[in-house]
Amino acid sequence: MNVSGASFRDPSGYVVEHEGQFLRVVRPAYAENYQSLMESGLCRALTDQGLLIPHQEIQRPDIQGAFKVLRPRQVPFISYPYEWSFSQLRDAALATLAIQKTAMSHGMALKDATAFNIQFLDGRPVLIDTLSFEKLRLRPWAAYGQFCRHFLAPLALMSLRDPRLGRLSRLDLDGVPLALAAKLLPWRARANPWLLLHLFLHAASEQRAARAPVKPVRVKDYPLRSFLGLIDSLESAVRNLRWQAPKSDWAAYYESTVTGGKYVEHKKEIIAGFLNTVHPSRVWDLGANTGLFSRIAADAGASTVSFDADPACVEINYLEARRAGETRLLPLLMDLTNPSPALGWAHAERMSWMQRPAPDLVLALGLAHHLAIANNVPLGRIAGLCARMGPWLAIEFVPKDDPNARKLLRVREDIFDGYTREKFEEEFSRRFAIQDSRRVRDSERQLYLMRRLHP
Amino acid sequence: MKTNSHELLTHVLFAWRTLRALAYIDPGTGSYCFQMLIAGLTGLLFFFSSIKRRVLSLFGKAESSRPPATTAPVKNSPARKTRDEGVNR
Repeated sequence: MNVSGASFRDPSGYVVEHEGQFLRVVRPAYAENYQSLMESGLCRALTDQGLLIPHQEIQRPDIQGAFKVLRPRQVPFISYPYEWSFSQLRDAALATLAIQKTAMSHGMALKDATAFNIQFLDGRPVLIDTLSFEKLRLRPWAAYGQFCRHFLAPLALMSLRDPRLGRLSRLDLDGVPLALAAKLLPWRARANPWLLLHLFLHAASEQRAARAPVKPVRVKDYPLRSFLGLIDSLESAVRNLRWQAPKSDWAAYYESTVTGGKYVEHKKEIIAGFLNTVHPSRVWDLGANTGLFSRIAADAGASTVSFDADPACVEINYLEARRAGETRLLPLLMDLTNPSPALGWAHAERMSWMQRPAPDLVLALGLAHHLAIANNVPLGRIAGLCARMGPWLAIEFVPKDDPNARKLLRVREDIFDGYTREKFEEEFSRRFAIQDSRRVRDSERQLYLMRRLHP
Repeated sequence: MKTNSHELLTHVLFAWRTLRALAYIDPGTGSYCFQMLIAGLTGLLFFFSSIKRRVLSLFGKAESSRPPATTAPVKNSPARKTRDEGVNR
């Protein structure tokens, strides 16, 4: 039984991993708050609304000093805020505020508001930390600063400056410092009264407090209506932030850049056939674009994670998944040439991309030529990475004379003599057995289904 | 109630210590004081928003505090049970 590397800050409890299951241990110090959570009806209200992860209390006498041991519903894929698109982070922020409002109506409040406590389950943001509640006290909200750093600041930066600034959450695990956000935001952001209040004036107040001599803080009762008004105004601040994903080259890829009318339809048929052969439970679609092929996997019953490096693609993919109520598709932002590293204390608080539960099948469609030609990654290394991920691989080979591959070579010297179909098959055959290989209609592209030789 | 300055200081220090002991995250002095500073404003905002809510409810419109994700129809459910569903932390 291992204690999770991310679970050490909150004295209320901790998470352990046992035989592939994650359990949450409640310490006696949290007993009173846990009983309030259960007896006030808050836990029920939140799980009914899909805002809090459901759990069962289980008997584990082998865990010493536990008040309770909880087995929560398991999350198929843990993702982090720096991997979310704008609307994913916005929905997570609104879910956090909805949880706080429901908690307050049950005489409780969130004691923290970190974006890392939210995960996407069945396509929807849910709070996974059952021990995040405490009895409501008429004091300023302890999690106010954290909410602004984890949600409001990155959302404002993504909305008003650049969607790529969501990655700032990767630099500072306790959220984007408000003073930094205030510096990076354009001047017009001050015209937004909610941002003026919760970001700019809030940041100034923090800086003023940091400079002020240390003296006792006068603790007064904080009126409930002010507390409720604070949550309402944070909700207005979040709702007022929007980002319309532009139709980037990638987002319009299937409509404009792929030649041949039957290409996409035939490729879909081949992928559906591969899925039928493998019957995967988990699929990772690398370079998924807006998720056209991820959806075939999700519809076939696989829990599918759809990775792309373009924020516009991930946003469009998520909005479509949300619109259609897709429960098995999780679009995420991931640059395969520089994927999420292990972060935090002792590199153990946030998992690297490769530390997360492995898929049964990897889809790498229209990807290898970008890695090989645009990023100079040798074919053998691409094969090596794919073999580390999972036992099955569906990969597309795009030859150099393909119009899209030619585009990559338009203004650069062709130093890629080894980029041929024969060499591709040779390199991948070192690690995989080719089970199936098909030419996609109306193109020179080849689709392979491969099975890993050694784990 | 009249309190002499010594008692007041002790009271304030005790209350602050109590607060620190109960909260596991540091609320930050700036964030804490800022909320006190804008308490009147947020209280006023709440007053107006509750009037707005009442008026809307008269016309049968209730504001939703849930992100739109939950209102969408559910597709491809129930999820197939994955072999060893992952992690929670």
